[in-house]
Amino acid sequence: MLKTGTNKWTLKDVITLAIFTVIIFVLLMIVMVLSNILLTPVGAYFASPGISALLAGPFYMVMANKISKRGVVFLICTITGLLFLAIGQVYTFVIYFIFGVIGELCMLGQDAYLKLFRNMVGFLFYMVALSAAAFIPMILFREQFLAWYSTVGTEEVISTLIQVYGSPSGILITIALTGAGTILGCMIGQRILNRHVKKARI
Amino acid sequence: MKHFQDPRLTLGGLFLTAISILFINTSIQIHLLMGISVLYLLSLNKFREAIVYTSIYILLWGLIYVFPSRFGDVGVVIMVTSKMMPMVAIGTVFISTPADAIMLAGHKIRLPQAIIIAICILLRFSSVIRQEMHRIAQGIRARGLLPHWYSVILHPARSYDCFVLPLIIRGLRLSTELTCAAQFRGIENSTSRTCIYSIAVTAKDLIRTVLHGIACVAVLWFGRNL
Amino acid sequence: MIKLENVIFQYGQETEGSGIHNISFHLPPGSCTVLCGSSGCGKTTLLRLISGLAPSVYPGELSGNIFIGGKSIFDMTSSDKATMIGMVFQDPRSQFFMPNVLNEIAFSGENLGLSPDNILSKVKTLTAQLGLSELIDRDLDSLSSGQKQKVAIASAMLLKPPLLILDEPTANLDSTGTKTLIELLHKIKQDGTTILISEHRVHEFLPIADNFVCLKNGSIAAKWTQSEFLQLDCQKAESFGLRHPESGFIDSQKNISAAAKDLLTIKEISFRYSKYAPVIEQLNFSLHRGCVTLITGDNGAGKTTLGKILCGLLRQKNGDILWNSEALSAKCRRLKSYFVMQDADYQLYTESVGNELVLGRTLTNQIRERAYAAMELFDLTKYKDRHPASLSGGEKQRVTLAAAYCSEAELIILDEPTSGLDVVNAKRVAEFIQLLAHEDRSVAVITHDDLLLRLIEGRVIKL
Repeated sequence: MLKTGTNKWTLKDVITLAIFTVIIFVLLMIVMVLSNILLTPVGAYFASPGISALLAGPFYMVMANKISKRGVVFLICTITGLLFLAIGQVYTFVIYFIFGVIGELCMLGQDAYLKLFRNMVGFLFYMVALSAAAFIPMILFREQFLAWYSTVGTEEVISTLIQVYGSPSGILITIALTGAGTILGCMIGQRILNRHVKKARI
Repeated sequence: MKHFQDPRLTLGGLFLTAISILFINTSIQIHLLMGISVLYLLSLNKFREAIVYTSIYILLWGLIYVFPSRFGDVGVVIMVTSKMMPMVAIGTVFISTPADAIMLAGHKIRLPQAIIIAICILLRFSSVIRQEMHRIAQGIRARGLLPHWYSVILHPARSYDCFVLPLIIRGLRLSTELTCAAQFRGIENSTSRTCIYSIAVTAKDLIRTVLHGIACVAVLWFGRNL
Repeated sequence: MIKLENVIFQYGQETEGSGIHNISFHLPPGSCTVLCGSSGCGKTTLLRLISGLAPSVYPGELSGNIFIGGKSIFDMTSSDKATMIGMVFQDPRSQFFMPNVLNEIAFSGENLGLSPDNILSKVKTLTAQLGLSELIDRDLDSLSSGQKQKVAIASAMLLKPPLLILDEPTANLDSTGTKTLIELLHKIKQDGTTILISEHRVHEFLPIADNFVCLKNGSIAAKWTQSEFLQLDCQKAESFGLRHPESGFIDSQKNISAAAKDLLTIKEISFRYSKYAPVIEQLNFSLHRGCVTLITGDNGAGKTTLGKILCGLLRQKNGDILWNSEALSAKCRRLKSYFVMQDADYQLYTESVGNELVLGRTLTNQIRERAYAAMELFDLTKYKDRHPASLSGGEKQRVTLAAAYCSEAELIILDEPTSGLDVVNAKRVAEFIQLLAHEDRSVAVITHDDLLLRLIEGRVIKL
């Protein structure tokens, strides 16, 4: 099912992207809420992007395969960012937009959206953006953040904050967990593509 | 014609609040920013939202002050959330703006047609997708496949397949059906667009925006030593 | 208004469906034409071609010419299509773009840049004409099927397109809803709009249809005028795969054997379908083993809600439901029941029909044999390795029925199993439903399909 040549988006491509982005976003929200309840909120911060990637991976893979045109990662990031913007999460929107640009640059080349490994990379940018929205502002505006939190929180809380959102180990753990979820999710997605979507010719 | 504030102005207010939050360094400043956001809501007659967000804000800060160190990890999240509240409150204004008004605003700033169409689908289909998930869950229960609440834990692979596959198929079918319907609604037309609501900037909108801007800057400038 | 010249179409690899083999015809402006035929005859494909959906959304190879109002469909832009053609689809869920009635009807006008005053004036006229004025501020999700259908038609007619196309508009409507639809279409036709309808329940459109075009295997098998179609007897109609008002009448009495044991006894239950619906109160009846019970009523009467309550998916507000004369919780009832939803897409999970029938069971020889027997009985053996999602609507329905047969459920509930099916497939479904009941199970069928009511021997409960 190689598609070569046109990168012009059709109305069907746009609508497919929008619908699957909504599905992925709703899954992200459900996982976030449930993991905040079942794990501790900090545990949720570390684990929920990875769990979301595991659940959302197949939807991303099917969408990417169906559309298979330049701009999928950029648009899915931008649209998700807009959804977060609609609920007041401005930093998340900015991070998603930036990650969308970088992720799309990583997807340059012919038929990138038909290849499992390339899709894993693109999707990883999408999923890491979720936690990056927390740790990047912490890194860039560290002094202001710490100054503000120290006026309201205890030392114990501040050190947890730094450990979770501001330390290299905290960042690496969240990226690693997200990466694991992304790899598994995309692999399951590829399996679903082969066993179901292509077989049923949907 | 019913009037809504131009979504661009709302977004402007949202971004200004977000930038202000980045540069504050005292707790009084965040209280003032929240107060400004609540006044913003009240000026748009969003009384219910103003009460809800004020109540949540007071609850969060009550927890922080009364139990400063009892909550551990949760305390971190409470603090982070309370800092986001002024933004979230203004986000409410944006999300309650009708989709066609947002699409018109997008058209005015020459957003790509693909994004305008996507915005329309997003706003409509969030509730539809939740209904689809509910139907899929009912379908699973109706076939007796995961009969108990703990079946999901006992059979994770089956649970995963039973949930993900129907949703993928429904997503693909919805995409096709919606594309067919969209062909006859002129949705691809990018030359001109209107809206049955007015988003023209009124004097009230302008005053609100200017006052909001001045207030945020004042909080940053004068509040830094509070 | 519509002109087809030597149209030949074959779907590409990605799409299932029958093609069109050299069709030519002409539909005059202001006329109402009904496309009919058995499943797979090509009427959906023809509709897609006339509306331009094939090959744009449904790729394939096309030759020939298609003109709408003198203009080639292939030369039409998005705006042209919006002003020339209004299209109403079967499923209201996937044709609405806005959350409420007013915005949905106004949507096309907004997209084409009409002035707001112009749009609002058109909306006012249209809603008054179609009886929608009271619903103007309502959310679309709170409307009944019939109301949604009206909104879909209003949305399609905002720009007064000269051609209105409807794809199986009565599939989700009861008899009252169908009558309302016919009256609505009559008004639209009087305004000079050309109407093209694809339908199985063809006779309902006799009051307004000028022509009936019957397809078979992608070609025109017959054409009738209104009076010619009226002359068709049941046997002739069924030979073309068409439903007839007399289809399905059986001579035998609908008696329940006195020895039939009660499986489920419903005592004084009450429930409500939705916030806007009336409460159903003091419902009393029994479901018998080895028998089929038909639950019927108008749309919005609460049939599906009752079905879900019976099998334990929902709880009733008041009253008792006894299983074998003993009280049983909703959860326990659910474990002994099987509910087949109207849309099979929600209940198919595997990559082959064979695996679908044994899903959730430990594969023993006994279960394997039962699955093979089910495939034989439900005529699915040739589809054993096919992916369920690649089957037609009727075939998917058979798979879900076969899966119900393979289960150990004592109570099986089917929700609108013949919706959108032609007469041949509807008769087959009726046979399969009787099969399900033969193993001392109780089968309840939720339906507003008069044909199914005539085809099945069983008690009827009307809500």
